[in-house]
Amino acid sequence: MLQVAVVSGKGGTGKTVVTGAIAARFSGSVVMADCDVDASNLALLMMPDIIQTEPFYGLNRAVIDPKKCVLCGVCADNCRFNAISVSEKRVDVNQVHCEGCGVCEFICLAKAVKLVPYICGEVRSGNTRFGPFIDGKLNPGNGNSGLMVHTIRKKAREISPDIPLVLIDGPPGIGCPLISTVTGCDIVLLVTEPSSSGRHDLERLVTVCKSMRCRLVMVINRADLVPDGTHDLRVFAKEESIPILCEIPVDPMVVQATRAGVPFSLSDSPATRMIQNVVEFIQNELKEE
Amino acid sequence: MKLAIPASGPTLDDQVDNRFARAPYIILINPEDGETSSLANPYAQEGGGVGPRVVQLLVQNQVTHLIAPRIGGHAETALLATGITVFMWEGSGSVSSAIELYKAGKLAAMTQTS
Amino acid sequence: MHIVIASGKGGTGKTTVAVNLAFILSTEQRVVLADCDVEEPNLHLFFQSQVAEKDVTLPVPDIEKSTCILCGKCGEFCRYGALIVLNDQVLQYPNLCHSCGGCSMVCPVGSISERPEIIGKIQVSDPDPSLHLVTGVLREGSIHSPAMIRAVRKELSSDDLVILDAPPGTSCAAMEALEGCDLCVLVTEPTPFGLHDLMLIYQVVRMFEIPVAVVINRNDNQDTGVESFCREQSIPVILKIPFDRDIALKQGRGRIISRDDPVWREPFSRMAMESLKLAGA
Repeated sequence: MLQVAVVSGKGGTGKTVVTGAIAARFSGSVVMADCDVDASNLALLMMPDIIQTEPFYGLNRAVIDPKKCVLCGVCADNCRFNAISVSEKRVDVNQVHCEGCGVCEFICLAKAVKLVPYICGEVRSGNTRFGPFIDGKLNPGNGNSGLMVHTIRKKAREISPDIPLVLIDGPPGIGCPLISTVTGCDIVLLVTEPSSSGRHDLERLVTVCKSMRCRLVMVINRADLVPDGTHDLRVFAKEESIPILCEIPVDPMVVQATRAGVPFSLSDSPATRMIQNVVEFIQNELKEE
Repeated sequence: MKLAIPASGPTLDDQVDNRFARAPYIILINPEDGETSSLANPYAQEGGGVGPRVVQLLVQNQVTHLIAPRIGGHAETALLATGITVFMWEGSGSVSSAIELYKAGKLAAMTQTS
Repeated sequence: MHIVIASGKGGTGKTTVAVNLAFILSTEQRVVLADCDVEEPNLHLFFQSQVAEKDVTLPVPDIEKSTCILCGKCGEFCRYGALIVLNDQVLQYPNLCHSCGGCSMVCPVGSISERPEIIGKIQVSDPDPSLHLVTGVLREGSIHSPAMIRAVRKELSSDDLVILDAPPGTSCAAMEALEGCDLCVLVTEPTPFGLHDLMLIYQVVRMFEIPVAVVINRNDNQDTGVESFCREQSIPVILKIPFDRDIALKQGRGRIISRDDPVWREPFSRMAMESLKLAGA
């Protein structure tokens, strides 16, 4: 099984659109996993029929039993996350700030605190016309996206073990969810754009991926928008020994197709011709597996 | 010696779980006298950092050998520090079939470099 | 007064809006610009000048081996697997630690104290006498974005006019940047993705009861979903930036369009005035 993660560092470089375009060309032999759990957009492009929705549990959260609580406030004093507020009548735990560490439970003499499982999102699985599909939604304000990414990826590997390719739409950034996304992937596809911020974010992303010994390949999106920026990206890629698989020009077809909720690679256009290089690269990798 | 195997259920007929730290049960076996017991994994549903915590649980239960699938980086460093011998598990099968393979010497031991 | 620029989706132009809003306001008064997008901070690319740096740390356990009795209490307590007790040693994973302080509390022999672990740095600079820039930079490989953002916000005074650039999305990190602000400007683009993510973050901002305004970027008048949503929810759209190769080119080269292109000064000025009004100035 070949696991390919599509990531970008900077958001909005076209990660999801590129993932969808690749997936459509591997119809029948791809499992899609959307690991951008803050803004899961792949479903808007691949239009899955969701068959199963499961609750996702994050870290436990503290709950205070008002019957036992003596309003002493020791829990609030010792909470490093400022998650507990004490008033004259009650003690409240802020569910967004609580990280489930258990200090309040330990320190409470009245034994009024309990740590309980907490649903902080859901993981969905279903089918698209191109193959099985998994994504997840974290309830707003919840952490633990790294764990959710881990859950989605595991499901993607297990849902149809005979399918040779797992294609992952990754999160932006370089934090916890990104690290969970690229861990153990065979190939990490960097989708970048020729802007100073795109370039800056790419450098940080490459540092993280290289420290995790990921194999990197690159696609430059909107390559004709800032020609000198694209030139700089080529130089950077060469220095870092990252192969550039293709440079996708600004193509009105891409926006049109995305608005219609279809992957752009289903019809011929300059962008589609470029994505063909990525498709062939992955086909070769699959042959070598 | 004591051998641990992550499993989907509490008996020898249950499948070896292909997750190490998030398997619902851990089966403990003494291959010499055949004595077995099972532990419900308290961390199966928990948030992050479960790998090292399950390793700690193994140490508390005097485990010396482990049969496990792919293991996360944190759990791996912990296992190396404990001196527990880890045998790689690939594919699928019941706990008892894994014990047979172990006894037959057909499972490869994980080394620091792998 | 704190005005936060946020977006549900990455790459919608949050940074463009923050940079230009701060620039326009700074022509009239002192402005603090705070980059809370600590995983991928970009504001400094537009305002390059001499920076002063300091490390941001979180406390992690420091175990005194000579007095530790390997009782296992700390390892049992830690929910995060950041320390585990083996037969002959305590093994630590500082990158899993959430700095709750529980381990030192439960240690019966007082062998655990805390030492600082670096999670990133804060860079401050004054690219212009009336513009102060504070940037949070998460160390590559660290998972502590929310703590980094809290550290950036500690540098900010509520008396100042502050423009915050939030991380994209609706995660706990984004919450840290939004909470307690006087206005949230949501930047979106007129696509199904843009609308979907706008709806998600709008839910969150409503939770905090912060006034909201929307900026539509890369507008090509082809999609009306975002505008209908704003109308339905009575959210003011305070600026539309067209999709334009020239803007993309300037922005991509790290230029400030409201400074370098007279055509853009006026719309951003109007947007700035509108923002101040909505924030209750």
